[in-house]
Amino acid sequence: MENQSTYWQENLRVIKICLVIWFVVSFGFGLILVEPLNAIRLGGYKLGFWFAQQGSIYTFLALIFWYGKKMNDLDKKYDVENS
Amino acid sequence: MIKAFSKLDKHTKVAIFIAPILLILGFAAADMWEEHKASEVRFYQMIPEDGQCNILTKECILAVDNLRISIYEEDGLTTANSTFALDTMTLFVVDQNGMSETYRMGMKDSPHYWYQKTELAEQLAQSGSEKTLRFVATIDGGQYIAEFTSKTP
Repeated sequence: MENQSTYWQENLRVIKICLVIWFVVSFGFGLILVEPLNAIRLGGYKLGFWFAQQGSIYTFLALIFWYGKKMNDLDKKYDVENS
Repeated sequence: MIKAFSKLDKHTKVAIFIAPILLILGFAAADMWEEHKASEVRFYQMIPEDGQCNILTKECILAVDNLRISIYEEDGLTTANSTFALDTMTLFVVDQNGMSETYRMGMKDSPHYWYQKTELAEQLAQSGSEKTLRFVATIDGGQYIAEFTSKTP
């Protein structure tokens, strides 16, 4: 029971990290900090604009696989069966 | 494609299903944020491009960022010509006591040109005369304000 609770706590921690990164790259970089980031250029594009258009999507894709890996690690750590 | 998807572990599958939902929620929230920001009133002060103004000789261009508004007298009408389409244009003529007379300008053919009949041509006709003018131009919730003096050399 305690093992399940710790597994769930760690699961929530991974989800929270994902949501924070999701917020930072989409709202933080794409909207709130767009002006200061636009002062930086990435491959000819303004960085704030790039994050709003492409960067956040790439980050979301990376997050999917990072989340999958972290959860698989947790499954192994707590000996949870992967069906 | 389906085979490759079925080979993924359950957590990655769940994440792939959840991601588009978050993406749509994010777009909706971003849209609301932008709408909220656009509705806020913003003020921008415009200043004479050459540091001085003479509306009788069409030498009065006020500028801020990429916006330029030229104020001049033509055919007895005080005219404002803007590089961007304006929603409204209001001109104030200030007298010696600091009191201002308001002229709500009307659109002339396109939102780039605004005009109003004023007495500025007569008031500035004499050499050495000057008049303090103010205007408020609005574009999408942004208020572009200026105070300047038109001098006749």
